[in-house]
Amino acid sequence: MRRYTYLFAIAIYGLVGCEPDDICLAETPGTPNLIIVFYDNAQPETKKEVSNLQITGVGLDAAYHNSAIDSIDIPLKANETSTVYKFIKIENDVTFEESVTFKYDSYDSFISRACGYKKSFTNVSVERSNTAVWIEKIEIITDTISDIKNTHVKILH
Amino acid sequence: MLKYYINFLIFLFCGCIWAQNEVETDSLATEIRYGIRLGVDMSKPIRMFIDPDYKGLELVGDYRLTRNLYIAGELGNETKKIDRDAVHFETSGSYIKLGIDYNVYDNWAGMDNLIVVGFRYGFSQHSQTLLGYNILNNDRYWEEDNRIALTTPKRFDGLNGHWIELQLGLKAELFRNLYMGLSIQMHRLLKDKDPENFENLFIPGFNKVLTDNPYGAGLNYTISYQIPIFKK
Repeated sequence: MRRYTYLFAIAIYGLVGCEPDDICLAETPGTPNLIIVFYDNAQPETKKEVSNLQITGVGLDAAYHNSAIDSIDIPLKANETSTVYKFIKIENDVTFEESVTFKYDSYDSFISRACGYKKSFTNVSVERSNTAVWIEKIEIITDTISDIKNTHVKILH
Repeated sequence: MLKYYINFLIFLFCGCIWAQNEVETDSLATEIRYGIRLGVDMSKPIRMFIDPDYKGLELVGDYRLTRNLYIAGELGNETKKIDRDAVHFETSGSYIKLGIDYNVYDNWAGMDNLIVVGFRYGFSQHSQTLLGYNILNNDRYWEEDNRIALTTPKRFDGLNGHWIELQLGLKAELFRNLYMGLSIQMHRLLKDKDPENFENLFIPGFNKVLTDNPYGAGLNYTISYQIPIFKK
């Protein structure tokens, strides 16, 4: 009987003592960023790079991005219903600054015990400062942002 | 948590060795006693003492059909609050498990100890209350606080779980008709009714539910008394 007791204790230890703890893997898709792709205003189906684009969230000092690009994904504020970004294009040492407000509703959906919930955004709309500086047009491709598979917003310049 | 298991294990271990010595001095009757054995799972009050977020009670019982075969079951109620970074919730409910126990231990004459292989079907009815959670946001640019505490907790009623379980255990007769038992349980969840936009993360009687894995584990440590009905 004693032999069994030892075996039993080891079995319990193996089974219960090392119960796996769920870990939220770093690659788990969380709250999606807003994907913006820049297009040529003259040829609306052709991507066009913005030379020296600086993107900074209004209220923050650090720029989110600062280099030439033709597409980018930017985070929206999860706890609020709007996010304002400054899109600054620097061309030949001349600064063209424009601020864009993204407005939206949101909902939370469950991922897992370890990861919690993620936010998705709905009814996404855009508001711009009155005068167009370098952006010609902003088109919303999809007003629901629940993943980062496709373009959400198209900016023509 | 691990510390709790280790302490608990030491406790059980001592109990088993002590129990064994008692049994060896038992009287040498030759009959097999039949009866209803009723008991309580002592691991639950111990866990309540160690873990303030846990409340539980489990009654156990079995009835001897033949020399080695028993009808067995457990009836219990558990409340568990889990406050993790990602989710903060409380599950509360009752469960019943029914099945058979088979004794594989060959006793000396007059002794009645058991090494039990048991099989159960388990069913729970419970509610889960979401108290808060974390929004997974891999982009920390806005440095927002992603932790959400719900001012009005979301309560999900009418949830349930069905599972099967394999039990391996020991029962030792300490004094005449008084038994101490120890068993480990491996569960496999068959189906469960999940709350909307949430999941059953703890099921009473089943214990912790893993996201992508239907298996779970539990243990109990019982003190039970056999009400003798007849002898053969």
